[in-house]
Amino acid sequence: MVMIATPDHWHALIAIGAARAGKDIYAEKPLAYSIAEGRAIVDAVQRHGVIWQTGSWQRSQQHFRLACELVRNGRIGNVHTVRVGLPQGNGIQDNGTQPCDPPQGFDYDMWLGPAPWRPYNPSRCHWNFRWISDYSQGQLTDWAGHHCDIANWAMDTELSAPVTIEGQATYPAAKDGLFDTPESYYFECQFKEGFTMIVADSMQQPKGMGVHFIGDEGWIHVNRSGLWAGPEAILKSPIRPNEIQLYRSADHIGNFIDCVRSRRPTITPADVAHHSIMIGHLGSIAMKLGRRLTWDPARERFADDAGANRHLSRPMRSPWNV
Amino acid sequence: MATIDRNQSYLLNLKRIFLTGLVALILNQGVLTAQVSDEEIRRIEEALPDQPVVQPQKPRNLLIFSLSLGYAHEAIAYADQMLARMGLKTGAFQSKISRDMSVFHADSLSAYDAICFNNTTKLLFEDENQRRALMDFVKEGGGIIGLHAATDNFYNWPEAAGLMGGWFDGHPWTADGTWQVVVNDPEHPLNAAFSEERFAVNDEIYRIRPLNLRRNSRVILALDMTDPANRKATGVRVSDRDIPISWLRSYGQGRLFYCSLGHNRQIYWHPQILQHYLAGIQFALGDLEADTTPVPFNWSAVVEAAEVQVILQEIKSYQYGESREAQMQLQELLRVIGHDAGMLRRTELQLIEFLQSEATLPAKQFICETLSSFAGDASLPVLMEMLSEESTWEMALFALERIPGERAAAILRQALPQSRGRMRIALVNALGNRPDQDALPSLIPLMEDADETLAVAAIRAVGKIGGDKAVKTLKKTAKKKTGLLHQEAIFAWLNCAVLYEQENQPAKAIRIYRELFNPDHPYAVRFAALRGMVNNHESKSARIILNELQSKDSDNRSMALRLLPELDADVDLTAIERAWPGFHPSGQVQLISALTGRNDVVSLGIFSGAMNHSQPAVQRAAIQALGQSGSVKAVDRLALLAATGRCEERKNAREALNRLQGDEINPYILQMLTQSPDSIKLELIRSAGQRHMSEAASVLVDYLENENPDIRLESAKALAQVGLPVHLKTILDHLLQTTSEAEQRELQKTVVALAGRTPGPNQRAAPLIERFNFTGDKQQQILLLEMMGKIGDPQTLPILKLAIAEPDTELQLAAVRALSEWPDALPMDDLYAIAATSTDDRQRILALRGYVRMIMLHENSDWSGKSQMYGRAMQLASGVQEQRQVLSGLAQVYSPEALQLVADYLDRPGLEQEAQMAVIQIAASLDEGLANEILPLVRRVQEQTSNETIRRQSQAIINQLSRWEDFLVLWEVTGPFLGEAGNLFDEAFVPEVDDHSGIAWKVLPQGLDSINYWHIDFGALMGGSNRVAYLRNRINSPADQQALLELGSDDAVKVWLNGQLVHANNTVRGVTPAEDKVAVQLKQGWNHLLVKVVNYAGGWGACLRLRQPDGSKLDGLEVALYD
Repeated sequence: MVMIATPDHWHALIAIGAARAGKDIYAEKPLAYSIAEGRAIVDAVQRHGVIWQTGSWQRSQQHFRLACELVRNGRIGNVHTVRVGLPQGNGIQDNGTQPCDPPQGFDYDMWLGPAPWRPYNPSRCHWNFRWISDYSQGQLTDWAGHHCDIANWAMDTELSAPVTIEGQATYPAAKDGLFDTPESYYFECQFKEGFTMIVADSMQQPKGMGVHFIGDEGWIHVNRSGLWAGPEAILKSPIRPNEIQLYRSADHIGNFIDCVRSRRPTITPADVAHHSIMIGHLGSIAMKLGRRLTWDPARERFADDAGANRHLSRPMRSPWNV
Repeated sequence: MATIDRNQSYLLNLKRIFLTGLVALILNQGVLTAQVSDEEIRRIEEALPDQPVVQPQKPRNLLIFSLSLGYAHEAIAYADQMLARMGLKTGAFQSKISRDMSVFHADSLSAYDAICFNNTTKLLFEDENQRRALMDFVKEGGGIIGLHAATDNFYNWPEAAGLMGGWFDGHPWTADGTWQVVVNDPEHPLNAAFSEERFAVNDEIYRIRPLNLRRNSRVILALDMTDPANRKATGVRVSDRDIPISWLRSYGQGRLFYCSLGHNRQIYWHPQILQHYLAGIQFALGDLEADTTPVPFNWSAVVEAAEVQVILQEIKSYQYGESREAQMQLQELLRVIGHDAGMLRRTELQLIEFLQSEATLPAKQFICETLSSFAGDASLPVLMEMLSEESTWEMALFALERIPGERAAAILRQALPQSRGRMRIALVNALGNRPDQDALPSLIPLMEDADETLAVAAIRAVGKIGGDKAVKTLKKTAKKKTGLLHQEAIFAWLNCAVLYEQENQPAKAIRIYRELFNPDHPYAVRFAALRGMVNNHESKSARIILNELQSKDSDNRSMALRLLPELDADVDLTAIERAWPGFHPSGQVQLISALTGRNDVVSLGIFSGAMNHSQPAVQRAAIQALGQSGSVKAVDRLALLAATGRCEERKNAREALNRLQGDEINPYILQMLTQSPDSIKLELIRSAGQRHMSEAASVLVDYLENENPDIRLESAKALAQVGLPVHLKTILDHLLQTTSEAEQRELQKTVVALAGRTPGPNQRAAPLIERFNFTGDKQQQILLLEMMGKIGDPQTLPILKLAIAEPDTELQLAAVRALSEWPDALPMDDLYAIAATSTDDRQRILALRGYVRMIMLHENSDWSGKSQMYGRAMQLASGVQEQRQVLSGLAQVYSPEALQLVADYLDRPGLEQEAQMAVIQIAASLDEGLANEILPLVRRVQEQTSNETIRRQSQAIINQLSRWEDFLVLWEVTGPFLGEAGNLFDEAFVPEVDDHSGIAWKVLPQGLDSINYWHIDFGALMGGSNRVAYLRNRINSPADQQALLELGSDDAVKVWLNGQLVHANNTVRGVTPAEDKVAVQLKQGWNHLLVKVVNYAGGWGACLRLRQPDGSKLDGLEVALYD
């Protein structure tokens, strides 16, 4: 077994190498640095028959599952809007941004791996990589693997994707020369399944952090602090045997180990994680380009936008390649 | 003058009311938000057009909706006046003003032709019917008009926000400025008011987050973003180019007109804008024809080539570690430029020129990465040149890799022969990734290169290009090589098979898969090969899998198991049935897991066979598989195991039985309920309850007479889940007849549950009342009283009260208990009376407990009322136990009164800990503005407690609240000073220059903001826009010392200490404590503090405090006013 807990820009290389070696893999979210790297992971994992679990552990929490089951079983009627609230701002820990030699014993060139070369500075690597677009896309791609994942689970769009994406972000001034991922962000996704998913930092969501499902017969809100609904009675309506029941896991790592034994899919297989983070990546590209994008979920390409398609992957620094 | 209710709305009827009376009425309406003076009314009247733009086709009615739930604009009153008078003066419409959401009802709306959202803010429309009424109104032909803040609504309702055009996103162009507006569409009928193509307006201009605006609406006025002043306003983003002001659209059969002008009152006597409004309103009413065809925004008109040049000049000298502000600006500008292909090409040429300039390498690296997003063939010559340079090849290649097309590919191919080292590997990777068929002849020889890394890259690249030639070469390499290269060749070869699949050549793919499914190859390759064979071989896929399932090689069996779920449901699995008992238990688990979800005979046989397996893992998998099979046979097996298994097995089997899915399951359980032996029957009864099978209710009622007491008990339990009100009487009879206490307890619960499901609020306990009146048996009466309490039907109250008056103490006690368990607060007063007067200790304690519980249930009391109730309870509580109970109840009352109440018990022996916990719990929930009241108590708890958790929690609260501590509240104030908006910050008003002697300083009243004591709210004191106030006080410091002045202000602020200017911040913002931090030097003795606060618009306030330089509490200062 292999566990991947590196910065995002390393996920694909390690995952594909591990899959080719026939190893089962537990990998932290987000699945990958880019949509193309995520697709390459999914293909390798499926092709080589290894077990994959993504660290989207909210799925293994009972109240998140219940929220999804209530939505799936129509307790709030037809859902037309899903609001996903994620953290705002870059959580920078400033350790110094001026270039200097990397510490003794730290193979900085290997840490950079496929990312473009820049000189080392103390604020670049640990924790802070999240706020540097060379390695990640900020809070959005950090958290889409959690709350967009739950939104997809509830809406039965785990293997689907938005068809249009439009939004805008506020980027930092980067006077520190380093941190450049969005400080605030807001984008809307239309799904062909007939609903709108609005993903934004929590300051721009009326209900703050978490996933807020709005149907024509009520609403459900779920986050790490709890589960709420209106009307409240929705929370007391049990899911009956003949209703839709979702995959049960009470222990995210335990579920991985169980599946390593049974060789059955985990609660968050690679293709599911790919579609969760896809929402984050699509929003990130749409905001970066500042235009409305049309996405073809089957081909995983933007329609009629060659420029946007260039952002599906990033050239890797030699000799790295997937 | 008649006064009117806030929510009342009324018709302004042109025909019947004389003008004077009308003015009085409207003025009343205006009082709610701001006073519109007579002079201002005169100006509005004078500025309004005399004539309608077109004569109305019929009498038109306009609803003016003026409710704001967020920021309440002063403009609302002016717009109310203006609109009502516009209708009267021009005869274009009659109007009615409302602030009542209930007007959004089909019946009320049918009276109107259009609705004007007059500066409404934060409307939510949480009632689905009101939403439907509004949307139906528009779709069926109504008009919508939005003025200014009408885009600051519907944050939970995208459809309505989309109708209005978008969501408010700030207003960098503030109310004090004068801004250039461009008339996009001078010939448009709604723009007839404007004779020029541009005009200047003094108003606040909204930026919105548009919702498809440019695709569904016609924008007719916009901010002129070529104007330097508009571009330079504080808070303007590089991307702010398209700032629409007025637009119109069709929506269903209806129409929308929105105009973002109208923040300042002068707008409402601006003749041209009023003419524009009138045209828009008449369009919305349906009288004025106007083109609503959307017109795309002309981006190239608002961006100049020089803008890019200016930024590039900044970037030119960039070195790593320096600010990347200019780079971020370029990216922001590119978001704008990207809207126009022509501009993008022009920018590409500018960037290419930059690459040829003397810019630093880090700057060129950034530009290459930027170019990679959009560069075309025009960039190729320069990139090619850079590719030949040691210092620039890598950045050039980054861009080239993303440029599609043959010309870019040719450059990569041409560079390959001369390249070395990492660059050569990079080129090989890039050619493989494209994939470039023509590169194959140059790549194949590199597979043999002595540099193993290069050879691996070449093998992978060839595998990504694929095709017959690649396959042949890779196969040869795989055979010839050993170790790493052999393995890489195998994987690359496999990739060729996948490519064949994608090119729809399954036969070629299968040929490769067959060769690769070889025990010498790695597991991952064999699995991929087997999967490939199964996926491409539809007719034979089952046979392939079944063969491998019986293989001697455990790897092969495991792979086949993995693929088993992909087989169709009707595939014959008999072969597996024979083989599986020979599998290792881990293989059996995998097999059962793989078959889970199937319900064919073989699969069910395997599951059943595994149910009694000695290995728990196998058994667990089998139970789970049966549970998901949907088969009725699973019911038998699971019920049997639930009845006879060991502890863990029974639990798993019961859970599986409860979750069993399928249409046939419930009918089968119902059938087996009557046919099974008792041990199985018990499990089925249990399951029927858990599965909420109401169809089983009558059978279960029959079982209440069963001779087996276990069955009676289990049926009573299940009936609580599935019983219907119609069974209530029968169940009640059983309850009163049985002598088993266990059954009585269960049946009581069932009766209470069923009574709760009885429709009609006062019918719930009817059968119980009937029985109570008939029976003379005391034990039965007690049983009935107990249930009456839990049901809480008001009809039973008289019975309970009578019982309390009975001489029999057992009946009395049962009745008191019943009252104390009442589900709501109805019998609260009765309980209080019992607690206060009863001589029976048991009754007293029960009653007090019930009373305390009901305080939180009491609906008509606020926190203060609840505190008083707890106070009364405390007086009745005689024992420590009871007092603790009251304290823990009080801890949930989040009011200052409750805090004071519990504080009294901090020193009471035996109650210290409860009181401490209550203080902590209340303090944590109270508003932080009350910090001064809360902090001393929490500090006391922290000193007093011996409990580590409480100490920790106290510290957390102290940390949190001390953020609000020590704000200076003792001030003298003077103002307002009025001046020109642009000059307020710099203009030195008298308090800055004078010795203060001639100024009327007043003591700042306390409590201007009742919650946040620290907030100096000038708005409440002397509100208004474009004005200045000053504060002063004296501070006595025990010594010369450094200090930190922490302050927040709304808006701009200047601070003088001892006559020296120590802080100046010209800003527009709200009050955030300690937003500005200023290091100051206090001298020993009296120091003089003077503060200037400028209000540009909206809220107006400040807060200040002095701390130690590190931000911690600064003790020993004395604050005073002047004599």
